[in-house]
Amino acid sequence: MARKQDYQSAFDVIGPIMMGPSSSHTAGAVKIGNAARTILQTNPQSITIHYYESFASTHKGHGTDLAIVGGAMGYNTFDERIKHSIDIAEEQQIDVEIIEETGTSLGEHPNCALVKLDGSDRHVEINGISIGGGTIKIKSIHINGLCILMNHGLPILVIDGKANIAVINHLINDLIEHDIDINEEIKTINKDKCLLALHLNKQLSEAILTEINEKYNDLNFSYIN
Amino acid sequence: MFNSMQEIIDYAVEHDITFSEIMIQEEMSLKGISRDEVRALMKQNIDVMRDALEKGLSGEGVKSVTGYTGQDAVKLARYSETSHPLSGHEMVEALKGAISTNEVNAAMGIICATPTAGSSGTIPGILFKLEKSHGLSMNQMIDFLFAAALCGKVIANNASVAGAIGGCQAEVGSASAIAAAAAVEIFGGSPQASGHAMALAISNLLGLVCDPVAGLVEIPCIMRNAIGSGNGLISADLALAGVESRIPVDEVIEAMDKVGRNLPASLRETGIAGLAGTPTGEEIKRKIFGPSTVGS
Repeated sequence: MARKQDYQSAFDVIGPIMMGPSSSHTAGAVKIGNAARTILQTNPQSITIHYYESFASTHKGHGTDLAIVGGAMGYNTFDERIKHSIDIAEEQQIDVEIIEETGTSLGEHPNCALVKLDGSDRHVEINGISIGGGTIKIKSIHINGLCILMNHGLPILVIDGKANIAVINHLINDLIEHDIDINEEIKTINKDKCLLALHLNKQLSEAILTEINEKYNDLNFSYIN
Repeated sequence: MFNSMQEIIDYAVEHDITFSEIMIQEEMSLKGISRDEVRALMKQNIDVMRDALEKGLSGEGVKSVTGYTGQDAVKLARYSETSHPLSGHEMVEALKGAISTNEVNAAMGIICATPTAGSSGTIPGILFKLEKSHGLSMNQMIDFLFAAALCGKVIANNASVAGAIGGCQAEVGSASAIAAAAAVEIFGGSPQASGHAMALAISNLLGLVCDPVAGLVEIPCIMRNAIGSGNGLISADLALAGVESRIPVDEVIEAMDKVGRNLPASLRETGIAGLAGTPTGEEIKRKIFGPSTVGS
C-alpha cells in the first residue's frame, strides 16, 4: 500500500482552520492563490483564473472565486475578508477574470485551477490541484517565460533569477548543511537565468530563509508552505 | 512515516506507544518545534471547533448563504430537552454537534476541516459529546485528535479524503472512521481494536456517494455528518466490546479507494446525479443559479 505521501502533517488531517464551505474548493483554493501570490512576491495587478472539471462546475457555490482571489491578495484560509475579496480587488483596481474550461483537467485531477498573476515586472502562472481537506499540490510553475512541470505537495521552495549551475549547487549545499532535507529538485536553467523548485521534507525556518535570501541576493526565494 | 494501519498497530504494540504519541513525535520532527508547541496548535483547532459548534446552537442557530439549510441543530437541541429521544440523549448530543458545526460551515463561518469542511461536523460531534458524557479532559481531547490524524493520514495517502475523488465515503466515512479509532484508544482499547473500529466504520459507509444539491456543501452534507458521528460512536463501541472486522482495516481502506475510483464522475462532487439530480434537487439549483446552469 501507500502509493503516495501527500499528507505528512497531523494538521493536514485535523485542519486547516478555514472559512467554509469546502476544504477542497474553498480552503485549498485559497492556498493555490497564496502560492501564486508568494511567487509573484507583490500584490497582483491582474488575476486570471482558469477552472477545470469539478472546479469548473461547482466554483460558484463553493466560493472558489472569492477564495483564489483572496489567496492571491495574501489572505489566509480563515481571513473573513475572503467573503468580500472580489469587491476589495475591484476597489484596488485589480483586474479579475474567471474562465470555465471544458474538457479534461490540465492537472490530471478534477479540482484544478490555473492561476495567472501579473505584477509590475513579473508574470506568474501556477497550476494547482486541491486534493482534499485543504491540501494542495503544484503541477506547474511559470515565471517570466521559464516553466517547470512538477507534481508535489508543500512545502516547496521556489528559486528564480540570475544564477549558473555552480551557484545553484552551492546554494543546495548550504541548505543541506542547515539540515534541510530536499526530497526532490525540479529545475530549468539557461545561461542567463534559472527556475527551480525544491520539494522539502521538513519546514524551513524564517531564520534560514532570511539567511539564504541575504547571501544569494541575485535570486528570488518564494517559500510556499 | 507509516504506510499502513498494520504498520502503525505493530509499532504501537511493539513499543507500547499510543497512536497520539506516534503522531506528536512525527509532528515535532516535521515542524522542528517542541511538544508543547505541537499540542498548543491542536488546542487552537479545538477552540475553533468549539466556537463553531456553539455558534450553530446559539439563539435561533445559523442559516446558510442560500437559505436552504440551517437552524436544524437548534431544533434537535429543543427536542432533546423536551422529550426522550429514541436513540438516547447522548446520541442526540453527538448529532446536534455534528449538524451545528456543518451548518456554520455552510454559512461560510470559520470551522476546522476534519479532515474536510464537508465532513467538519463528524469529529466535533463525537469529541464534544464525549467531553460532556465521559468527562474527557483537554489533554485527552488533544490526544484524541492526534490519534485521529495519524489514522487519517493513512486513509488520505492510500485512498483519498476528497469527495471529488472518492465520494462522501472518503469524507464523512473517513472522519467517522478516524474518530472511532481515536475514541477506542482514549477509552483504553488496544491498537488492534482501534483498527477494527476504523474498519467497521468505513465498511458501514462504504460506497456513499458525493451528490451535493446545486454543488453546495449543504444538502445532504449537513445531515450526513450526523450519520458520521453516530456511526463513529457505534463502531467505537463495537470495537471496545471486542467485535472484530473480519476484513483487515488496510484492505477495507483499499476497497474504499477502489469503490471511489469506480464511482462515475456524476457522483463525485459535481452536483449532477444522486440527490442533486432529483427533480427537486435540480429545481433548487435553478432557483439559486438560474436556468442556464442546469446540467452543467
